[in-house]
Amino acid sequence: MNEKDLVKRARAGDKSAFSQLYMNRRDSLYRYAYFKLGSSHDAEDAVSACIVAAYTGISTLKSEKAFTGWLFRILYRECCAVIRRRSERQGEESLEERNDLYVCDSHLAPELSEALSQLSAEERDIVLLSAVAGYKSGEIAEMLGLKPATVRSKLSRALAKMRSFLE
Amino acid sequence: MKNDFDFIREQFDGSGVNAPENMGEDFVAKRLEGLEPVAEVENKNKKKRYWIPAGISAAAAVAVLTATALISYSLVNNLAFQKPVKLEKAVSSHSASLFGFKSREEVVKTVERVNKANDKRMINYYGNYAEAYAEDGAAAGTGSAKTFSGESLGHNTTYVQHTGVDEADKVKTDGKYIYYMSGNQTAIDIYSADGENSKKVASVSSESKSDSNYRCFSEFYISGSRLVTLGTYSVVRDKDGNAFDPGDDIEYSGEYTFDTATFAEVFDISDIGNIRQTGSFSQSGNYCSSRMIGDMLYIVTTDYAENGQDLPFICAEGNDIATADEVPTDCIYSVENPVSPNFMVVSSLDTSSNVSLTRTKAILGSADIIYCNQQNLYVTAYLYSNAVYNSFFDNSNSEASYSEPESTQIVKLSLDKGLDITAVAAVDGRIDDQYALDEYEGNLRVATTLYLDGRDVNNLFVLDEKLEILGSVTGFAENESIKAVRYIGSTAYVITYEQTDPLFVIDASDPANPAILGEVKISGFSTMLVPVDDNTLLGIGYYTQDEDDGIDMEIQEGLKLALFDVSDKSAPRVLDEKVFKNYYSEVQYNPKALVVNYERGDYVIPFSYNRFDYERDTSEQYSGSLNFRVANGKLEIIDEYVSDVFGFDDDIISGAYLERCAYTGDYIYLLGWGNKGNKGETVIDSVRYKAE
Repeated sequence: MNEKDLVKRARAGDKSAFSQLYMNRRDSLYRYAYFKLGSSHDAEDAVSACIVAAYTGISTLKSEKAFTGWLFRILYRECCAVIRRRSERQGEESLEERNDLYVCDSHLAPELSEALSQLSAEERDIVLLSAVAGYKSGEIAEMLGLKPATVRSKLSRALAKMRSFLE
Repeated sequence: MKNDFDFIREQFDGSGVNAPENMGEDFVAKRLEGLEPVAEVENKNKKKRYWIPAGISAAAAVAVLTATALISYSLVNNLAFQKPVKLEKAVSSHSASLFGFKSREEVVKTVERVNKANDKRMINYYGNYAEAYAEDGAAAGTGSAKTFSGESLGHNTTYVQHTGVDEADKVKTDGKYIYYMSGNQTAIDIYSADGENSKKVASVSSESKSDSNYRCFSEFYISGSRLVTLGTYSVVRDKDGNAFDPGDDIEYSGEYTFDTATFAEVFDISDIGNIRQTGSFSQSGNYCSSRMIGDMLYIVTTDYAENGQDLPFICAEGNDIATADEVPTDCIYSVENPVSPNFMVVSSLDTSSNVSLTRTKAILGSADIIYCNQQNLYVTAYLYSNAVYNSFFDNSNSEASYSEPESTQIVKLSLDKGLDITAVAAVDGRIDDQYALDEYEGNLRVATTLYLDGRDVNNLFVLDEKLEILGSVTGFAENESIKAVRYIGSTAYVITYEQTDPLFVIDASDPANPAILGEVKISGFSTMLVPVDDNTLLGIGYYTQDEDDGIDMEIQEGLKLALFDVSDKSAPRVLDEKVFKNYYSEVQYNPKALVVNYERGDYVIPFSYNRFDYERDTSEQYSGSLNFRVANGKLEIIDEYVSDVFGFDDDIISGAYLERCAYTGDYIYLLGWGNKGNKGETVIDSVRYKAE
C-alpha cells in the first residue's frame, strides 16, 4: 500500500496503517530526538509522546503529502516539552537557558554529539531540522520565526563549523 | 568534494543511531491502546489554519476589543486538553526610561543579575541608583515612499525604504561591475557587466585566519569607489575568558566558548585589478543590520553577555582581538526591563578616508529590526511573552502563565547628535519588518500584531518624538497577522492575512486619532507593498490554496502579484491580480530582491518554478527572471526568461539556487549559487531586456 493510502486509513482510525507509517520513519524520528535531546531515554519518551499526539490528532492533518513534515513538527514540540520539563526539574529560572540545555548522557555517536555541542541551540535546531528531519529552509524559517535567508546562512555556517570539527 | 550539507547528512545517516528494537510495532500498539483519533473540530465561521490555539473565551475577546470591535467571534472550545485562559489586558504602548551606569562594577553586576533571572522584571533593582535618561527628540524625517518619479542611473540600486539611506545587501552594481556574495559568504565576486560576455574579474575573500577565526561576510555597500563589507568572525576563548590568537588552530573540546564579533572593512575599488583594503573596524556581537548615509556607516550588533565580565568591545583596528577596547561605562546604558543579557551595540563610522569611529553606544536590551531615516535610527527588539513562548514550544499541553503580552522595545538614537539616545518605548505586539515603522512629521508610526488570549490582533500606534503615545487603532483584523505595511504620507496601508488578504487603509493625518478608512479583500497575501504612483499600490506575495491546507503550517502554493487602486481611501479596490502557481521568489520575503528600472518604468524579480507530481513521483523545476510593469491599471508581463544555468533551490545547500537579479543598461543579470558540490560559488546569467 502506498503512503498516501496509509495516511488515509490511519486518519480513519486504522492503527496498523498508522503503525506502518511510523515504522517507515522510526529511525529518523528516533535519530532526530536523540540528537536534539542528547539522551536515549528522553528520545524514547519524546517519540512515544509524538506517536500518541499524532495518532489522536490525525484528523487535523489536511493533506496526505504533508504527513512527514507534520509528524516531525509534533516531534519537535514534544522534544521542546521534554527540555522544558527537564529544566523545571533542575530548577532553572531562565526561559532562554531552557533551550540551551544540551546534555549528552549516552555513548552513541560521541563525535557527532560533540560536534553538535559546539553549536548554539538555534544552530542545532536548524541543522537537525534540515539534515535529519529533511525540512527546507522556508519551513524551518516558519517554525523558528526566522527569515529563510537567515536560516540558509545560519545553516551553512553551522554545517561548516561541524564539518571542521569532524574532519 | 562533497558539500557540507551532504557531508553532515551522511554523518547522521551513518551514525548508527537508530530506533532500538523495542521501539517497533508492539511499542506503537501499546502506546495507542484504548486511544482513538479526536474528531475534527469544525468551525462554522472560518476554516482554521493553526491547531486550535489554547482556548479562547468570548468574554475576554470582548473585553479587549470593546472600543474598536470589528468582528465578534468565538471559537469552539471542546478539546479535552485545552484550558480556557483569562487575560484582560488592554493593548498599549508606553515610553520607558533608559538608565546609565556610574561604574563598570554596576554594569557587571547588572549583567550578572539579568543573567541569573533572565525573565524577571528589574524595575526595583534599577530604581535604587539609576538616573533616568531622556533628551528631546530630533527633527522630523521626510516622506518615505518613492514612485517612478525617481532617478536615472542606468543601473539598479538596492530597493530601500528611505531615499538617501542606503541599505546593505548581498548584491550591488555600479553600472560597470556587479558585486555578488557567494553562497557560503566567504567571497564577494565581481563580474564585469558585459551582457552575455560578463565574466568574473575579481574577488574579495573574507580570509579566515584559521577555523577558530571563521570569518564570513553578511552584506556590503558600494559607495563611490569604495567597497564596504560587513561580516562576522569567531572569537574563541578559553575557560578563563582569554581570547585565542585568531591565527591559532585550536583543538576543540568542551573547554572553549565561541563568541561572535562583527567587522566593517573598506576597500578601494577604483582599480578593479588592484583592490586594496584601506580600513577596518570591528565590534562585539552578531551582525544585526546597518545603514549608510553619505560616507557615514551605522552598524548595529547584538552581543550576548554570557557573564558579567564579558562586556561589549570595539577594535579600532579590524579583528585583532588583542587590541580590543571595552565600550566605556559612560557609553553603556540599560533599558528598564532587559529580559535577556543581550547588549545592542551601535556604532557610527566615517568611511570617507579609511574607517574612523565616531561613536559607540551599548544598551542592555537586544536588537532585531532597525528602521532609519536621515535623522534618526530606531532599533527594535522583540520581547517574548511567556504566552507566546509556551505556545510555540508546546501547543498541545499548554499550561502557560499568561502574564505578559509580547511587546516590542524601541530605542531611538539621533544621528545628528552623535548617536545620542533620545527616547525609549515599548509597544504591545511584534513587528513584521522594517516597513512596519515610519517617521512622519516627527511622529513614529508602528504597526504591530499582538498575540493575545490565544489569537492575533493588529494595531497601529502613533508615537511622538519622545515616543509617547499620541494615538492608536487597536484590535483590528482579529485572528490575522500583519504581512506587509507601507506608509505614504499620513496614510498607512496594512496587509493582514489569515485566509484572505485584506488591505487596510488607515488615515493617520490626525496623529491622536488614526482611523481605518477602508479595506479590500483578496485571496493569498502580499508581503511587500510598492507604491506605483499616487493612486496605485503593487502587492507582491504568496498565492495560497485553501483545500491544500496542511495543518499548522501554511502551504504557500506560489507567487502572486496584486494591484490596488487606493485613489478613494475609503474604498480601496483590487485593480488586477496575477497568480503564478508553483513559483517562488526571494522577493516574497526580502524586499531587496525587487529590481526597479526607473528608466523603463518596470520591475524584475527572480523566480523558481517547482512542481512535484506525487502520483508519478516526478518533478519539473526551473528558474529565471520575470519582467513586468503596471500599465493602464493592469499588470503586464513583459518577459519571462527561463535560465538554463539555474535549477531550483530544492535541498537548501546542494541544489542550484537563483537568488537575485540586477540590471545595468539593457541587460538583466541573474545571480545565484552554483550547482552541486562547488560549495556555494557564484554563478551569473544574463538576458537582454525585451523591447517594449
